[in-house]
Amino acid sequence: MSLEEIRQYIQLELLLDETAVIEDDEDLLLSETLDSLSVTRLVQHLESTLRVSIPPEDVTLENFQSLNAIHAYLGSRE
Amino acid sequence: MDFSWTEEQNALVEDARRFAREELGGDVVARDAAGTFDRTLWKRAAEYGVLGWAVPKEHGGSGHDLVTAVRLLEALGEGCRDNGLTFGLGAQMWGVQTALLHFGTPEQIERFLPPSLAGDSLTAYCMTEEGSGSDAFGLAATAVREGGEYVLNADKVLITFGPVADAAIVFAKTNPDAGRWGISAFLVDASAPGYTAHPVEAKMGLRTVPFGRVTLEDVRVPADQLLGKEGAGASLFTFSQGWERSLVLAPQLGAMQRQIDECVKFARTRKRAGTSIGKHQAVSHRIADMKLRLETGRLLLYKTAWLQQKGLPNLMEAALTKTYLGECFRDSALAAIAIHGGDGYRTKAGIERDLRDAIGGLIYGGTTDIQRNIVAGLLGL
Ligand SMILES: Cc1cc2nc3c(=O)[nH]c(=O)nc-3n(C[C@H](O)[C@H](O)[C@H](O)COP(=O)(O)OP(=O)(O)OC[C@H]3O[C@@H](n4cnc5c(N)ncnc54)[C@H](O)[C@@H]3O)c2cc1C
Repeated sequence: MSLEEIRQYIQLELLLDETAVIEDDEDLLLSETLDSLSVTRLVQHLESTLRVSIPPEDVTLENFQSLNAIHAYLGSRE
Repeated sequence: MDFSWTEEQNALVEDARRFAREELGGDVVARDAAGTFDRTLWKRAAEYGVLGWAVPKEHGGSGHDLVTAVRLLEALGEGCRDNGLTFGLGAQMWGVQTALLHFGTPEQIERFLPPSLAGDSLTAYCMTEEGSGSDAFGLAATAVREGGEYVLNADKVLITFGPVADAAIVFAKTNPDAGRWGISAFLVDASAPGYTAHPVEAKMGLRTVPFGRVTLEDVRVPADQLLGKEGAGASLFTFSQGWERSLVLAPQLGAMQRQIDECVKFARTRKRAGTSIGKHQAVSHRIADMKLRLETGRLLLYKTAWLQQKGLPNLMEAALTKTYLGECFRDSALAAIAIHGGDGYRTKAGIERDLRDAIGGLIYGGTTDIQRNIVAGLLGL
């Protein structure tokens, strides 16, 4: 999944704002841009779209803090 | 879609109901009044295998799929009138064992799971604090790394089994600057210096399981008792709460079946002015509504368990199940009291206890308001 597709899912489905600006390195978690329900939805979306399993203990700041982090983490799961 | 059960499943369920009726009875009215937790009953349930129903065989359980497991728990709740006991069993199975099985290292599982399955050890799940409940991640507890150990300070409240637990899963901040992402979970021995289990607290219902405050003052926990990665505490909590929300109310369905059976019997035999009270629609419709709640609650629970078993998303279903089953049990418990009139209000009849027990289900594992927040959020609101 491309970084752009992840960005679009967050904009359209989680923030309900297609114009929301999310930089590649912007913090999504500490800023509470994504609350815990949104993170869970994002994980489920990634799992079902990519047909990968994301162990719950991998859902950490390190792996999900920004678009870049998520993209890199998914790369490591391929 | 197939609504049928295998003969093997039916036989298991039948036996679980019999076991609960014959072996998990005792004087629950007296135990409720005194607020007594009966460890003999706990051990008996463990020996029957209840705590291992959903645990894979390779870890010492019976490895039932979750739909079978919830149906067994339903049978347990039907046969056993002690809602506190069945709630306690569910809390261990879904809150504690799930966290251990999915986040624990092989060594941790090896150490903590067998005594839990055998009923020899109880583990408390310590998240709530005076300053944080629905906003669980707002906790104040801290864990500071010092060499090969963490030093924990925590003040946890409303903890099921807190006063009697042998171990605890404790949530604390390892990185205070990272909000929820700086929370970690620890397996802590209750015998560790600085760990205090405070006395049992009186409560409205579910009085046959103890709950209370647990404090940790400079408790030194070996680093290998970190449960999951550092910073994965929020994920662990969300994950195990998902399981608990989905499945913990299964025994209440059984209790609702028991209520219906008793109400039908009572309404048929109780005569007022020469007529069975069940002949009055005001009474019979109440029981019809109880049946409606039972059947609709059942469908929701089985679907949620099925999705959970398949590893499919069930956030919505879990939140609906927790809310609906909780409120159905409350409403049916209230109806059962109304149907029994003054007898329903008498403590010795054991009917009013269901209502007191039902209220807990609207609060623990996330209140019904919080569940509705989740549903609304998933609907895009
Ligand atoms: C029987 C029982 C067993 C328990 N066992 C455990 C245990 O083993 N371990 C543990 O850690 N905890 C346990 N708890 C604690 C339980 O998880 C909390 O009570 C629960 O999460 C609610 O938190 P609170 O009591 O602080 O209420 P609060 O969070 O203060 O809520 C008070 C009221 O405000 C509402 N509210 C709060 N925030 C919102 C919001 N954002 N939107 C809408 N409404 C809101 C709530 O729904 C509630 O009506 C147990 C509780 C009970 C009753």
